[in-house]
Amino acid sequence: MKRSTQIFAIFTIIVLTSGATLSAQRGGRGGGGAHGGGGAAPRSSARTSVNSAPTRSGNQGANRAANGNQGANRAANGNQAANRNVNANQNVNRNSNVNNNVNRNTNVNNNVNVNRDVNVNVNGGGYYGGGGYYGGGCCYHPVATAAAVTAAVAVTAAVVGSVVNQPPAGCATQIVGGLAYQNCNGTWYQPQISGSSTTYVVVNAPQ
Amino acid sequence: MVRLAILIAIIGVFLYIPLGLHVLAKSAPQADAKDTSAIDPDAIDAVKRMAAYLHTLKSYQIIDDVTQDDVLEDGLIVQSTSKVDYLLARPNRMRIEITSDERHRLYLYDGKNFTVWARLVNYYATVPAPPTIGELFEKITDKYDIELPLYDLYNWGNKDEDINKIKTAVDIGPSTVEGVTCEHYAFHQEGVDWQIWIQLGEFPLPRKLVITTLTDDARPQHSDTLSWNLAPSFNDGAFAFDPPPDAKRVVLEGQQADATEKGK
Repeated sequence: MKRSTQIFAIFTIIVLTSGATLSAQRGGRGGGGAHGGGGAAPRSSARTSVNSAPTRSGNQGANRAANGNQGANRAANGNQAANRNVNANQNVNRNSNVNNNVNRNTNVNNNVNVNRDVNVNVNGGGYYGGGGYYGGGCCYHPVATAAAVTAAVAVTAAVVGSVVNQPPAGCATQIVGGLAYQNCNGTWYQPQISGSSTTYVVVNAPQ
Repeated sequence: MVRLAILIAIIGVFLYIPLGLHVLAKSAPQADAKDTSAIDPDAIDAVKRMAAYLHTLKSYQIIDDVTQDDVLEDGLIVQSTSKVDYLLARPNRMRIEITSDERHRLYLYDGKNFTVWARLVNYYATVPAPPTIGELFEKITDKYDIELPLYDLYNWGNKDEDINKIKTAVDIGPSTVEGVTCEHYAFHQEGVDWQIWIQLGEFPLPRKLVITTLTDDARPQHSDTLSWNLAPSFNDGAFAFDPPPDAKRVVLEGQQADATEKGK
């Protein structure tokens, strides 16, 4: 008697739990899902049409690659933190994927800190740009960062073909051949309308 | 112990019943069900009838309230909303204005050129366009990766294979959208579940559309809630772009710079 009651209770719970899950899945009137902030670029977006081929798949792949890089970034930042703790130095590894940064600094203030990264990353900050779609971690600016590194270490210039969500500060708009460009201290960014956002591609100086 | 078990069972029953026995009773089609009995021919006919009706409309204006889910890397869904003001005149004119937190876009098509104006940055791009709206949809999507809203609306019923992709079709029953009585249908096909609310009566207009993407475990959704004006007033100016004073011309990604018509 006792045992059969227990079994009945357990059985009931199992049935009800699975049923509830099922109705939650299928009872789509409410739809939606949990909301939440977050500092990452989206891994995917809802399709906007039933019959149009989802042309974004290619770009989504690119996004995923970009996100992969973000993961790498976080790892790099981890290093940064470690460095800061040990050396109390401000080596600004703000960017970048897989820095070959040989922080072989022994003891205080004696750090070498090479940071010779070029960081092309044509995928840029990802398709969902427009200047920081979800705040935080999205949309880093590889070229801008490379420029920052250049200022510190003097290694690279912005790479033609790189795409960023925003040009660096202090650019001048110039019209060449009827089209707008941003001239940023001799590095030329061409704005382009890219899907649902606006991006900037580094180009050679327009004629 | 016995009491506890019984108590849990009873609580379970009470929790469960309001969660929607009737939803369960409608049965959950298997994601890959190929059984043709899963297709309610009335539901298919309703979509065909709606598509045929839409093709009879020479011009219309729609206000579309849109929700769009993005899925973050960790699976969280983030919903954004936007409003689309959509004016269409067959066969070759269209004006679409999209307003959201992030952007304000205007798409114009006058049968000759297609223009995008990104208002917040005040950039615009103009490219030569194909001669009909149908071709425009294809070209803009394929070449420039711009998804014009309401693709389905214009293109429904143009291709039989679209209808044939439907693997499950269910008539859910009457349902009201913004005060309009509709019939609610649910469909499944590869990659998406979708639901549509079609106005009852002699004007079978789609009033609501919900698309659930199945290719991501998070199942993000997109929804359109549509208000219709079947007698819009407009003139040619509605489809022509007159650049505002400080608007600057740029390119569309995918556009060859040397293919642009210069010096407009």
